Amino acid sequence: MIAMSQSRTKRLTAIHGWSGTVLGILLYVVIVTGAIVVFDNEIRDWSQGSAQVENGLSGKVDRIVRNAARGIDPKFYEEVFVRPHVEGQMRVSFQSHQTNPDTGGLDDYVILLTLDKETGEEVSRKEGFSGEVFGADRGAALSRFLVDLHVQLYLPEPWGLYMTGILGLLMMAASVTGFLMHKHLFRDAFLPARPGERLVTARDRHILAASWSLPFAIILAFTGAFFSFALSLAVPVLAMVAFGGDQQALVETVLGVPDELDLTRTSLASLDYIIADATSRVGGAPTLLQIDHYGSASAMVTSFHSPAPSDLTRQTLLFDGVTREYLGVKPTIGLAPSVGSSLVSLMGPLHFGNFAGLLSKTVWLALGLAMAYVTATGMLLWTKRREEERLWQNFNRALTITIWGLPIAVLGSAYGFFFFLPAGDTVFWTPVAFAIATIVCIWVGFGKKDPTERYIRWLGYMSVLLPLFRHIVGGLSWSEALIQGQMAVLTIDILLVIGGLVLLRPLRHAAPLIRRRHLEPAE
Amino acid sequence: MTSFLTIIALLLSAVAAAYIAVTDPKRRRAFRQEQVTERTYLWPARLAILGPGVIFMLLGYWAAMVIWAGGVTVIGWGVAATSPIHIAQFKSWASEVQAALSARIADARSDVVARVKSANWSAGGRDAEIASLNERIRELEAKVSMLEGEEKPRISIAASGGNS
Repeated sequence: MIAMSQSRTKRLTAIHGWSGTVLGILLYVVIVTGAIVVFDNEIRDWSQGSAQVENGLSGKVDRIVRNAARGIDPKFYEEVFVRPHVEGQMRVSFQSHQTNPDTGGLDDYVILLTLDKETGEEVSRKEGFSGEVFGADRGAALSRFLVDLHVQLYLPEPWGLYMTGILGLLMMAASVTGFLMHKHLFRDAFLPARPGERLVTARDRHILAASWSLPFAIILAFTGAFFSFALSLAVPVLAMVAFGGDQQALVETVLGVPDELDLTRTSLASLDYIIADATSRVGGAPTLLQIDHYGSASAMVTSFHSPAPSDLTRQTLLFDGVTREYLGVKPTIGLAPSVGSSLVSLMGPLHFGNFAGLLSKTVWLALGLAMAYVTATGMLLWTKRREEERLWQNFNRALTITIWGLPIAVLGSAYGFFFFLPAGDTVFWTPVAFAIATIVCIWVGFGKKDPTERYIRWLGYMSVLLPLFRHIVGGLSWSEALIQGQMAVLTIDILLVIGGLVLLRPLRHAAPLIRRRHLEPAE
Repeated sequence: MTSFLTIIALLLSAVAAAYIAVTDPKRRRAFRQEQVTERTYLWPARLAILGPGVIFMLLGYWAAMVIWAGGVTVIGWGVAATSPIHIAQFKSWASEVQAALSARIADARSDVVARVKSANWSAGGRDAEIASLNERIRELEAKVSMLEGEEKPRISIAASGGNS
């Protein structure tokens, strides 16, 4: 598309190939797990098999929050979050910023209460730093593990975030150089892979998929790198440069906290009134309520809502926590609307694809799988060009193991999770099961024979049998799921069975089977 | 409503992409197909691929626009990656399945017809047998009445229609 000299094209090809290959296997892991965790909430609902989480806050929220606050030390009134939970329950968390002795960094100390929505009775209580409180949820261990694998490759902070940030940048480099290198982007847009297993076929496959997915490859890589580096690198560096290392001061400045706080004890405005007001303004109940400096003269209430049907970003309204006065739309960054704030608020929806329910999530899943295909075919093309060299032969085998072994290991982690869900530590065993499945795949993969067929067969059987296994170990049955409106259970089970059957390929033999039966009487 | 509009837009773009793919000269040349000689509607098809995105933007349906943009890249790739060989294979598989299914349906139909006919025939045969037996009874009764003066014979008819 862009005219370039031969030497420049050569240089770009080298950048393109090496940027995709050096850490390509890890990039493939991040992309595939990213495609899966688009359905993070659905996987959580499916795996823990409890009733569906309600969509918005409703009921006597004010009375319940006030009653709960009476039993909490006021030092945890710094931030209070109120969110819906499974049917008949809601969750209220009281938080304060404290130094975590384990990490030495600033962290949220959380008292998390699960309360009955009608009576306010305490169903459960957890207390500790945010990682311990939210990370120890046995029912959500599978989805949390997959998210961790995507976000930081299950490496310790901040190294995992650095790694995924670098992978995002490498993906951007590969996308941009690919765009510059390809001379006939539009002319070849409808040219499929030519038949055979030649080098040109592998090239055609890679180029066609890459050409179509180019715009979103850049968007997803950029937003992913942004999320990785914003927390792990940008916050500490900016805090060091501009706030003498005080990260709390940086966060408060960026998010827009008023300069002077009046912490005189004052009664909080009615939360029920604020919820009703916010609901009437945006046409939907809040999905989260945040109360800063609960019970003080500086109390502020922020209500978060799902995006409007035509919008990408969620709606956030700000209310005075004492006078219940509506103060306006709360920008993501700062106190007044700005271009920067709008751009930052677009990062989330563009990366997660969670702004329009199942439709946008399905499209984002497909985009993720398309990226994974581009990455895999690109690396295979690179090794095919060097198949005479022993190093690249081994790399090719490692690629095959990763391409098929990763989904097998993900299913292995799901088996481990379900096995230990009735009475065991799922938070520990889910990653262990993943590791065991990975080791088995590597062991088999480095044997003499090409393991692809075997992997596909395993993947097919594991997919088909997982819903049955889930049911045997006490998971929600289909009838219970239907009664509780838990459609995620049915949908994911059915998709697993269909996916498994496709991999086992009975469809390929459907026509001959029908024909054979038809011919039997004549024989 | 927005989701419905987005799906319609994606379908429209998919059809347009399929049309462009089928008539694409480079693609036809690469797969040694004859070039399309009739008039093609490439520009309307290109507009149909990209038009929904522009309309969504003008209407301010940003969510629909972004979903459509994402969806069209995946669908476009799927359409473009389906080569004439794949289409021919699918057609041959589909016609094979169709032929096999039609043959089985025809067999099943003729089998059912045969069974029904046979059932009718056997039912008709039994009626004829009963009728002939009744006829025989009537003949015998006539003989009996003729011989009534000499001796009264004892006749019994079994339920199966036989006589003794």
